Amino acid sequence: MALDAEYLSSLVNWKEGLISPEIFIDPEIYRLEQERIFGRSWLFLAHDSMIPKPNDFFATYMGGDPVLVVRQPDGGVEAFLNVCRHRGMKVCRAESGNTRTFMCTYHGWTYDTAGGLVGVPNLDDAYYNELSLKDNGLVKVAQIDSYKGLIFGNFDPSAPPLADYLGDLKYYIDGWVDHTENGIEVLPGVVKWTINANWKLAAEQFVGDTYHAPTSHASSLLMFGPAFAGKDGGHVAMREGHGESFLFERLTRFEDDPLGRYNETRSRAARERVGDRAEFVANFTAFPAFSGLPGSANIRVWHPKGPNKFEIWSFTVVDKDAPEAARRAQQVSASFTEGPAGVVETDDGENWGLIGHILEHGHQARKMAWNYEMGRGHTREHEEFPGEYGDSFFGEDGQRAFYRRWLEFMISKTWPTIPEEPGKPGGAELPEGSPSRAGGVR
Amino acid sequence: MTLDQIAGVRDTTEAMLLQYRVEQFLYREAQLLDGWLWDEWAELFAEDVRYWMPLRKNRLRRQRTADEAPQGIEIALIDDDHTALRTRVDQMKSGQHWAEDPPSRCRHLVTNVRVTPAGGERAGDGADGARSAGLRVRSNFIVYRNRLETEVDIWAGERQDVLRPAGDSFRIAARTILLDQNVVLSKNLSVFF
Repeated sequence: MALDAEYLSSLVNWKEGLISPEIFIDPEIYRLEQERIFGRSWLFLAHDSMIPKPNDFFATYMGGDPVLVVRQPDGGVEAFLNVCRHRGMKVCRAESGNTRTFMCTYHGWTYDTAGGLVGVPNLDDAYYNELSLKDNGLVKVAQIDSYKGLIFGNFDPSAPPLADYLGDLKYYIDGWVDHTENGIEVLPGVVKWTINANWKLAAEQFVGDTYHAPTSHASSLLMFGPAFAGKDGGHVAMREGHGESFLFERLTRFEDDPLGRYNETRSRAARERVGDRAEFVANFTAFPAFSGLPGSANIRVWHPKGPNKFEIWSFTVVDKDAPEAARRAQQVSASFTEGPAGVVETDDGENWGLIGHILEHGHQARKMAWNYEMGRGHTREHEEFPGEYGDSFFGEDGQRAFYRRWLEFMISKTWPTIPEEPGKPGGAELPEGSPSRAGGVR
Repeated sequence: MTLDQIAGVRDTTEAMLLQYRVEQFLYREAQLLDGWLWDEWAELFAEDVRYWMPLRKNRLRRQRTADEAPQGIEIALIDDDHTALRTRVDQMKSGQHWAEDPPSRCRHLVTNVRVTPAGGERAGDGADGARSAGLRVRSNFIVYRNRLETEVDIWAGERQDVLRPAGDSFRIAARTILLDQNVVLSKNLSVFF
């Protein structure tokens, strides 16, 4: 099946909320995602606090590609493929550290921390000094930008600036990265684990699927979580493909909070600074694969590792000016609840892994369109919360907006600018009368 | 110096007896876990226990430190006190913990048990002064998990325990679990180690 606009549109009927699970398992779709989604989106690389000193580096991925993010001596940040220009070997296999050079251990080509090629064995007698060092530096990530300490990269030089890309989501991100004067920092330790399922399952859950929590997380909610109903919160969907759902009141997991007074003071100051958003217990996704849990101080990247496999990378944040006891309490709490052994998180892996297994082996199951119709037609403008607002903690507007944007990226040969006219797809390649408009998922 | 002096025991017979008791304790623990007797298992731990599974890292060789376990604040895979451990046990029994319902079939294999009397070799940073009045015991493990129809996980690693004498048995006063994986190669770690 040719992956043209017509076919892809037939799989993603975001308007009516019918999505074909082919998009979670087809290897050709996965390959096209690497080019059109991960090759053009702003992808989270690291937080400023993870690479504070000159020549500090953090090794990550942008889509399937290994990338090094490096603090430069002048304080700036560079990012480049962690791939030697000679034979494509990794030039660094440590996950983080501090170094002056990256040497490929295959033939010894050596690069400086700005990615420049600075050493080639036998340059004079084997290459006769004819090799251009200048033309063989590490492949740079086309754009680097940061938002309040969150560093993102983009392989597409034509992509709009990060701030435009984040759009209305900035309002919600501010609620937890900008609620104190000194901002946040990431605690040491990136927790990484493997799910045999498609990365979008996690991204779409964080974009707005709080509906899963009362069932999926029944055991942990029973023990220490907040009891909640749909009307205890709200959700927002954004045209850029981002979304967040939130509870209005912070409900602490720990009643005998050893940091009672600190939390109280901090909470008051945060409310003064950014209002109600400071208290949200929430989940969000910035399209495509950067998510977070405000209220649980946790940020996430969903790294694709194949059509039916992804890695979760989980980072825990604390207020930069938090006292030692608060940092320790946050670390213990994050280790207890989130991550592969987290009492909340373990049940998510069960769902995602089994869905991945069904899609890998099933045929009939792959033909059945999944249902995303919850809350269709019930969003409105809200006086305070930007985005399309839904008056419930539960709702699938975020998911529909996510897959709408996914489709636009996938069918557009140029960077899919969001058009002024609300009905048109970005990139404007969708032919008239295509199945997506007629609502024809199989 | 004789072998017994090096081992820090009066004689070989005593060392063998100690080794035997420690091994039997660890085997019994494994049996409780594999038999889903989590309440009884939790009772093996001292009230002041730290049950800790730090992250394993890929670092530049020159930036490796002697200890695998970090000294400062760092996110861990597990960092539980006794209350947290009991909460996990309660979750197992809740009937709504879907990651373990139906429960995983596990086989805990414990090998290479090395016993050092109190005051000997450092067993790990999970063991601070309060817990040091005990035996330092290192052991290797392989945990095989088979779940639902065909799901399999195999985890290997080392446990660094501090065992405190309690009657004619022991309580686990500290446990550091070094899982031999950088990226955890499974969908969760919903079983005990």
